[in-house]
Amino acid sequence: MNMPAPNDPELDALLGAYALDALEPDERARVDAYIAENARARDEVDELRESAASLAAGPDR
Amino acid sequence: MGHMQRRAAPDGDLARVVREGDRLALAELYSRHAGPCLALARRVLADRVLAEEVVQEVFLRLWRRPERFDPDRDPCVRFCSLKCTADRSTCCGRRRRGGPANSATHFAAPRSTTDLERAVGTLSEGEAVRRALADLSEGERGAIELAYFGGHTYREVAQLLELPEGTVKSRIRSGLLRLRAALIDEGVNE
Repeated sequence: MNMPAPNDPELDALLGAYALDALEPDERARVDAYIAENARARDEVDELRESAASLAAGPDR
Repeated sequence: MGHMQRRAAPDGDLARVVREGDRLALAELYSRHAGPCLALARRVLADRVLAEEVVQEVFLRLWRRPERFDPDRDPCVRFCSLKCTADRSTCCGRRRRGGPANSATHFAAPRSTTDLERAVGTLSEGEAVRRALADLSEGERGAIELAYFGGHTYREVAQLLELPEGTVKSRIRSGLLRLRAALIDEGVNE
């Protein structure tokens, strides 16, 4: 069984902004690489994106 | 490309297999980008139905003419900028010419996957989302709205609100996590 990829608190902190596509390009590339290796972080991004997608259905503006 | 590979793949790789006819890769791109895309489209168009049509159009276009998308030149697939200006005219034009667009046509290509249906399903949950948003702290809500609806990066949001970048980062993340919990309570998300 493979060792799970290590968690990185600094990159974890960026996951919310990543899910909203609110990162600078260099940061986005780092998070891309991170979640490609780290299943837990990838799951969190999926969940946050789901919340973000719901957001679009929210306030009428 | 298997399910886990698709979920882990960068946008550029997904776009590449969309060229080879991989519908599930398109669905993965859709679930990643349709929400922000719609938010931006609504900001530009100020008409919700039209904005939804534009977003469908973008992905339909990617499906039908994937060769026009160059993943090597832009591996990040910035869908939002890729389409809004271009599609605005065609979408509005069609509407002027022939009344409401036939939305069945728009959904035809990607509709077959559950991911996609779930993403589209979220479009009709407005009231529950409004209640969920009300659960957030003002700081969380403000940061998320500026980033999401305003299209700003978190660094720009930090400048706009005159807050440390770390504060904005963590408010966006905690706010989205809290939003998710509230939406689960509302029965919107699983």
